[in-house]
Amino acid sequence: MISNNEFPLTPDGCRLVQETVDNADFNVVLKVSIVTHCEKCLSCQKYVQQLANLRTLLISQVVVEAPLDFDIKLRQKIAATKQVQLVTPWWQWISQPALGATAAALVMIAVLAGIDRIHFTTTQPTVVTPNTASVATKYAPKQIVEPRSFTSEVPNNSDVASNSPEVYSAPVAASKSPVSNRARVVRRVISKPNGDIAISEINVEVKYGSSLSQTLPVSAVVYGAKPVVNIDNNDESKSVGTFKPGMKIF
Amino acid sequence: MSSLSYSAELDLANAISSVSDHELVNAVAQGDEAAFQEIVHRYRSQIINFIYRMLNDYDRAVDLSQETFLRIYTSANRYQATYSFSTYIYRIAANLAISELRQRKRRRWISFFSPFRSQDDDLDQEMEFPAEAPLPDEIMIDNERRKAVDSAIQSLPEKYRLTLVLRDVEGLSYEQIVEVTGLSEGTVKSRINRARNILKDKLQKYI
Repeated sequence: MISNNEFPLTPDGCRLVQETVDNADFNVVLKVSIVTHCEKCLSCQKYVQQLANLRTLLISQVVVEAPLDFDIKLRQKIAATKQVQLVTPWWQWISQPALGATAAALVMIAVLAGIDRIHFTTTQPTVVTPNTASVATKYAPKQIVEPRSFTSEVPNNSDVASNSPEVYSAPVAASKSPVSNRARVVRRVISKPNGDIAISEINVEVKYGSSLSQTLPVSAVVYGAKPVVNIDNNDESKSVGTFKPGMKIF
Repeated sequence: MSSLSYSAELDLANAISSVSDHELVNAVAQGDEAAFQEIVHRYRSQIINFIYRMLNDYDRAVDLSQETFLRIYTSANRYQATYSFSTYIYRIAANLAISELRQRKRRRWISFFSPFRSQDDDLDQEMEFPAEAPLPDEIMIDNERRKAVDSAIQSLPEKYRLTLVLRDVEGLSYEQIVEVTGLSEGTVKSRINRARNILKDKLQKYI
């Protein structure tokens, strides 16, 4: 039982009133004690009144309602969550022993194959000649020989007067390979009777790996369905296509 | 026939509405959709209002309320009846609201340093279309007061805002607030008292 004496008209009594007033809503005895104190204490009276006004102000704020489609959107979210849960995450099926072992084996094979390829390419001899270089396309699998590379260096009439094979270099797309960025094409020029220049044949020496090499006429050098080099018998020379990854042209 | 089915539906609705929250959550854990629907109907408005008071953003409040119910639905089987269900749901909503407030604070921090701040962003926040017809005085005063209260609540630090909204807007008891926030009762009381003093200063004109 709380008596009026519990809230004396002292600073401590006022502090107690201000601390307990918040709990007075559901305690009638406490409420009466506070009211009795406040009748004689203007400071507490003001405090309690301000608190009541503030609470009224806060409670009287507009209550927002749920939108009409609240339930529908909630259902949609739940359905979406269920759908996500149906798809088994990869870490769950990989945790199954058999599948996990298979996956690990596949990863190992892939890693070993990668190491083998790196070893293979890095151990190839570097070919360096004064005006000649090689193209390693290992790291640039889609290199395209630009047409201008050849046309710009097709010799003039005086150059083809002699029947001797000529060698010239044709720049190709830059490669990140440490070897070189130029291709060497061996060209044999045959003068036609009327004296016009005609390129009848261009031999390209293609080197596979470190030791195996092959000299091919240009039309035979193909990668898939795409010719590496095409050269017309007209004055205009072309070279199109892509180099096979790992293939070197000297 | 239709009246019978209507009567049966009414009986079912009455039966469900008399079930306690704990029983409803247990039913949800067993996959009872009607029980979940009942929980949503019981707490939908309270949770939207609570989050709205915390964020002052209606659309986001609706989104986060749905997220709250989604979490109730997905984790119903993990619910333990240690606390009352209302405390449990408020706790989830409070965590989501606080998380949102912190994200907003971070975003504001980042946008403050953004070298290409769009002027449109500022315009979007400040732009208010003028009313076509003049408002009656009372409505205008109400609106002004409402905005002032909203603004004052929003100006409170996050820790004070949470306890004040739970106590003075949602009407939770101190014990419930202790359960929702995980703070001690002394801390809760202190924070509420501090928040009220700040609001009294800011809303002196209205109280």
